[in-house]
Formats: sequence, C-alpha cells, structure tokens
Amino acid sequence: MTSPQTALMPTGLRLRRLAAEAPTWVMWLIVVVWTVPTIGLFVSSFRKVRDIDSSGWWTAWNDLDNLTFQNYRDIFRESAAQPSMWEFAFNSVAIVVPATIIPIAVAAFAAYGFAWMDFRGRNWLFIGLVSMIALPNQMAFVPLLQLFNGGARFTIPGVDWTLALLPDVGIANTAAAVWLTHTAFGLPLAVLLLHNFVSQLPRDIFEAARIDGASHFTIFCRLVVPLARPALAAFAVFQFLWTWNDYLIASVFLNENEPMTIALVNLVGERGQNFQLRFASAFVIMVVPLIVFFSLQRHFVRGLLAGSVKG
Amino acid sequence: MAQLVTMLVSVAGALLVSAVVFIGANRAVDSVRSRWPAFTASLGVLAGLLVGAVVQHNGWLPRGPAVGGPLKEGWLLIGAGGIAGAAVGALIGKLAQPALTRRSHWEERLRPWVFVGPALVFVAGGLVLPGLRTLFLSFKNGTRGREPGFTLEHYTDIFTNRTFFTFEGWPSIFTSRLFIVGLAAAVVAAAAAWASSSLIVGGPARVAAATRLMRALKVVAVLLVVAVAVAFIESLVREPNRSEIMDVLTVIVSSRVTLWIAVVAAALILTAWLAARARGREAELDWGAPAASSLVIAAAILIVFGALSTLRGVVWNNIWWVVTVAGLSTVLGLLLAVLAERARGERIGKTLIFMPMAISMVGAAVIWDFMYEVQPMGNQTGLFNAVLQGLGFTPRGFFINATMIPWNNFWIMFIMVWIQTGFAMVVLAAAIRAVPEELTEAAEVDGASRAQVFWRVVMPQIRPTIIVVVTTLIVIVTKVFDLVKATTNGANRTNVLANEMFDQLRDRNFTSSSAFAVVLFALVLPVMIYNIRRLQRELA
Repeated sequence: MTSPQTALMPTGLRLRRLAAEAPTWVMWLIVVVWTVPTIGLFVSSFRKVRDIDSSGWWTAWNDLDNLTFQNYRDIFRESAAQPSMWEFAFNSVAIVVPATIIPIAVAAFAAYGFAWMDFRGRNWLFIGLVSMIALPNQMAFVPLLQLFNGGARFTIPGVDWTLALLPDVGIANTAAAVWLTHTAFGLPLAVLLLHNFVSQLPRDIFEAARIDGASHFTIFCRLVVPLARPALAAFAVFQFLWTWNDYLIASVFLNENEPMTIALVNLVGERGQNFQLRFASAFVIMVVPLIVFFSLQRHFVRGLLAGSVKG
Repeated sequence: MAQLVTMLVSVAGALLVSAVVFIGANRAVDSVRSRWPAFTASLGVLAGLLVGAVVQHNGWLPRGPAVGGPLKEGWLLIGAGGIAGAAVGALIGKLAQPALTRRSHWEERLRPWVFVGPALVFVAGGLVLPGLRTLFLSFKNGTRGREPGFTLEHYTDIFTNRTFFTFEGWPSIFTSRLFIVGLAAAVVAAAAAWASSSLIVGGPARVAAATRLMRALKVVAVLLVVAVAVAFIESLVREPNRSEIMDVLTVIVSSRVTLWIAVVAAALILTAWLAARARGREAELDWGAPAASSLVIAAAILIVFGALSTLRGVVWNNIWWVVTVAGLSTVLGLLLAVLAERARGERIGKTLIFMPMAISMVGAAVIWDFMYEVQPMGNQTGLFNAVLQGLGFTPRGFFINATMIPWNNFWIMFIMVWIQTGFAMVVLAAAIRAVPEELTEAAEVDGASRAQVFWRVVMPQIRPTIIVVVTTLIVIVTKVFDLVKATTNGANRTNVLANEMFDQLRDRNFTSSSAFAVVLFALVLPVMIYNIRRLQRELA
C-alpha cells in the first residue's frame, strides 16, 4: 500500500489524498448494500430446500457441488399445485405487447396534434390530460370493473328510463381489459414525454413540408415518426417495464390467464410449502426486464429525464 | 398453441382496427374539401350505425332482443341503420354544398381532433369519467352503489375507526428521541444561520463572536450527526420496553397544558420569523449557509418522522410512507449524485444502484423478505439477522412480529427507498451536470469553498429538479400497494390505503372502496394542483 513516495509525504497531504478517495469508498459501500440482496436471491435460487432452511446463502460458496437447477426445472413443469411458469410467462407477453404498442401509437398522434396543430382549447386540454399523471389509478378501478363486467347504463332521473350507453362486450377477465386499462393509465405520461420531444423539433422542416403540399397525415408518418424514434423508444422501455412488472391492475381485472407477478405472489402466500421455488420464480420474472434495462438503459434514462427534468 | 394463435390474432386485429380507424378518419377529413358528399355520407353512416345500435340494444323495437342482449342478433338492424344513414347523408351533401373556402376552414378545424381525439377518448373514458364516478359512488348508500340516496358514512367510517385514523398517542411525540434530536438540530441550525450571516454583514466584534460560534457549532453539528445516527439506529433495533423515567415524562407532557404551551410557542416563533421577514431582514438569518441548510433539512425530516411514528392508523401510516420514502430517496439520491461525480467507477456504480428500478415491486418484496428472514432456532438464514446474531443481538422478525410496531413499517419502506433512490440519483446527477460551468468556476475564483459552491451555487440551480423528484416520488409512494401486499398484507399495523382499498374492492364493497380511493386522491391533490400551475407557467 504505502509506496516510498507516499511514505515521504507530509501527513496533511496524505490525509487529503485519503479524503479525495472518500467519495469512491462511500459510493461503493452503498453500491454493495444495494446489490447484495439481489445476489442473495440469485444464489438461493440454485440451492436445495434443506440448505436454504439451514444455512445462509453466503455459505453456498463452501460446497458448490450442492447447487442445482432443480428449482428451475420444477417451476417450468406443470404440477397439481401450480401450472407451469411458461403459461404465466405467456400470459404476461399477451398483456405486455399490446399494452406497450397501443399507448405509444395513440400518444404519438396526440403529441403531434398538441405540439404542431392549432385549435381552440389546446393548452387547457393538454394541461388537463397531462395532469392526470398524478391521478391515483385506484380512482378508476371500481367504475372500470363495473364497465367491463356489465357495460354502462344510465337511468334518466324522473322518467325512470334506463338507457344502455355501452353494451357488455364481454371483455371482463380478458387480456383486452388489461390492455385498455394500461393504455388509459399510461397515456398521460406518454403524451408528456412525446410532446416534450416533438415540440422541440425545428419548425422549419414542418413549414417546408407544408409548403410542398404535404398533409398533416403525411408529415406525421414521414417526418414525426422517424424523427421521434428516440422518444418513442424511451417511452416503450418505460411502458414495457411498467406493464411487465404490474401486479395491481392484473389482480383487479383478471381471475384467469394471470401474468407472472400474480403467480409469484401466490407462491409467497403459501409459506413453507414450495418455499424454495419463489427464488427461482422471482429471478425468472426479473430476467426479462433486467435484460431490457441493461441493453436499453440509455433510452430509459432519456425518458426519465424528459419526463421530469424539464421545467 | 391455440392460445398463442388467439393471442396473435387478437393483437394483430386490435392494431389493424386502430390503424384503419386512424387512416379512415384522416381520409374522411380530407374529403371535407375535395368530396363533400362523401364526407356527409360517412357522417351519415356513423349516425345510422349509432342509432341502429341504440335502438337495438335498448330493445325499442316491438320484437327486438331485451336490454343488454347480445349485439349479434341485431347486426341486420344496425347495418340497415348504417346504409340508410349513408343514403341520407349523401343526399344532404349533394343538395347543400357550402363554399370551398368554408369547407377548407372546416377541414383545418377538424383535423386536430383526429390526432388528439383518441388520446382524449382514452383519458376521458379511462381516467376522468371513472374518477368522477368513483367520487359519486363514495357518497352512495349501500355497498354496490345501486341503492337510492346519499350518505357520508363511508368517510366517517374511515375517520372514526381507530385502525384507520386516530390522534391517540400524540403525547409520545415529545419523548420520541428522533423528535428531540430534530428539535436540537433546528436550534443549532438557527444559530448557524445567524452566525454565517454575521460573518457577512456584522461589525468587527460581531464577526469575532460569529467566528467563535461557527467553530463551536461545527463541533456541535458533528456531535448531532452522531446523535442522530445513534438515535435512529437505536430506535430501529431496540426492544420495545420503555424505562420508568420515560413513563413519568410521558405523563407530564401528555397534559393538555403542555400541548397548549407547545402550540403557543410554535405560533410565537412563527410570528417572530414572519415579522423579521416582513421587515426585509432576511439577511439576519442566512438559511442558505451550508451548515444551516443541511441541518434544517435534517431537523425537518427528523421532527416529521418522529411525529408520524407516534401517530397510528392506516391514513397516518400512508403519510409516514410518503414522508420517509420521498425524503430518504431524494437525500440519498442527491448524496450519490454528488459522490459519483468524484468517484471512480462512476458508471458501473450508478448502473447497479439504478438497477432495482427494473425489478418489479413483487420481486423486490421477495428479495427483501428473504434478507429480513428470521429463524426461530439454529442458524439465521436472513443476512440481517445473521449480522445481528454475530454482533450479539437477538434476531428479530423485522416486519412479521407485532413487537416491532411501528418500526416494522420502516423496514418495508426501506424496500421502496431501495427501488427509488436510483431514480432520484439519475435525475439529480443530470441536473448537476447541467449547471453552467461558468457559474461554479466564477464562485471558485471568488474563493468559495467546495461546500459553499455546492450549497450556494449548485443547489439553487437544481432546486426545480429536486422539487420535480420529490413530487414524482410523492405520487408514486402515496399509492404504494404491491410491497405491502407481498410482505405483510397489512398485518401488524402495516396497512396502507391502497391495500385497504383493494381488499374492499375484492369483497365487493364498491362504495367504501371508492371512499378509500378518494382519500388517496385527496393526498395527491396538492401535487396535482402544483403540477397544473407549473404546466400553465411553462405553456404561457
């Protein structure tokens, strides 16, 4: 550690050296605290039940031969107690793909409309729409549940006439109900993110396109969508993580065809039994978002900053 | 496999329908100018389909299916409505064709709605109208909201039930160590603020006194930080048994007289401060001083934290969640953002701290549940209890034991801090990097220390971003659900509003479930209003 040079240094200078290193030490200390839990889960997912219950996961290094893939094999095999994890993974995908694509498309139209078209009440509508970011989703659960389960009816007071406003189209308990809900809940943030980006595009290109006779529809398809690709990617990462990791909306609107998060909570519920499976399951659920996160971190951060730093 | 095909078909179908609707709407608006009768005809089709559907669905034809019957049986009727509408529309369009300039104008007016319309429909139908209906339901009689008449009982049920809301236990605020240390920090902060202002504006004698005071305060501040750490850690790990001295103290401070004294004292201090401000003497107390501002923040967090840890009930618990997680995540995130600037391995470190953002709350709950694991006998398999055991303490069930109340809540909150710190760090680091270098360099040239540059130059610059981070966290934390559901499910007084709301919903108590949702909404309403005002300023 102490090279001849540092040994010759005056004490004050050496202390200052140490102080300059302090940020590195403190940061890495926090980094260790922040990562150890995940490592613990990862290691435990490869251990046998007997080992998990009798010794800490940090002792697993002592006998690496005891590690096994059995837990992973178990969760992907169908059993009487729990269907295979493949089924839940499949349900998750069925929810996530449309729940990511639909809001992006709808929000892109709206972002262009709010940024580059002039109409009465534009600012007010935009503020109203974006302020819905802060509305707790809980405020919409009961009415949406009733809507999906029986349509909407309105009884005219006085005459006692019941009008069916929306029919029961039978999407209760289907992935479609969850797509629509995710779309509505994700839209305000999506519109804000895309609007911030689209409104920063140079005015000249739109004016040039208008003079050349391009319609708004052409401008949107040929100019806005290609140019806004970074913002679209940023929100796609956002919405993907949010829908993949969602537990609340799925558990409110689904009784069957449930996604992986619900399967995991069910596993946690039955304490003792199949205790060892929860680690492997939790890790399987984490793998996809972690891959997306590490490979598209740049986009994710950009989306985060566009949504919050501005203003 | 069949399921896979169904899914692919339905996804493709949904996307195709959306695309056709959007392109079709654009074409329809195109035709306002170029082919007017086609436009009126398409309006006619829409109106006809709508009328047909309403008539069929409500069973207004003599032998039609009943209200709410399946749509299939009425396709013929609806189709007929569409065709009739098209004919009527085309006829009207042929007969009455407005001038071209007029139609161009209409086209311009209509086009924006094609673009913003879908988003407005989704937000109105998925958030605004359901929100209003929730508000309406929360005042309805009965459980399903079908019975006639209105009532306030769903709200009175929440605010008169001890498990949801109570002021009992407020006297223990005054014996809460966090509260006492927080008060001390506030006093020291005031002294520091005075001293640093004297260094700037005082005469020679006052500067001398202030210099001495500052030197003393630095020592006191260090001691306080140590005391805070000790008090905090002790509060978290101690066994819940109170000494007799504390009991006597509790009796004394729990009298009404003490409360009034405290209220009057607080009012006096506030008035004095406001009066000083009104006289334009802000410089007398220099709250921008590094030592003062950090202590003020610490004191505020400690006092609120101490107060909220003594008030129990779901509503208070929810507020405690918000204060703790928003405060700790922001402070930790800011600390890390500053540290990372000067640390080695900045990028890897930041990525690892940021990583929990990608993990679901449910996954995080499983991860940490295992960290807090307690074994009744034998080796401890949870890391924390293994450490406690190694240090000679008794292992504890961090949130599964009733003896841990109220600190069991803190251990669940910490999971949320673990998730959100990365968010605060990334956003604040970007804000710090965006501070113009000319400003910090100018301050350094003028002889400002590193701490002074940070507190007096960087902090004012990143203040708007800090506010954004805090408000975002408030919105996220207020509706915390998954973590509590997957760890304790609200047992041992760890319940939160969203979990209670969910349980009521599952029991089909729609009206009281709505009341809980409205209380949640009321908690974030200030943030919502603040956001609206900020947007208004930005767009103005």
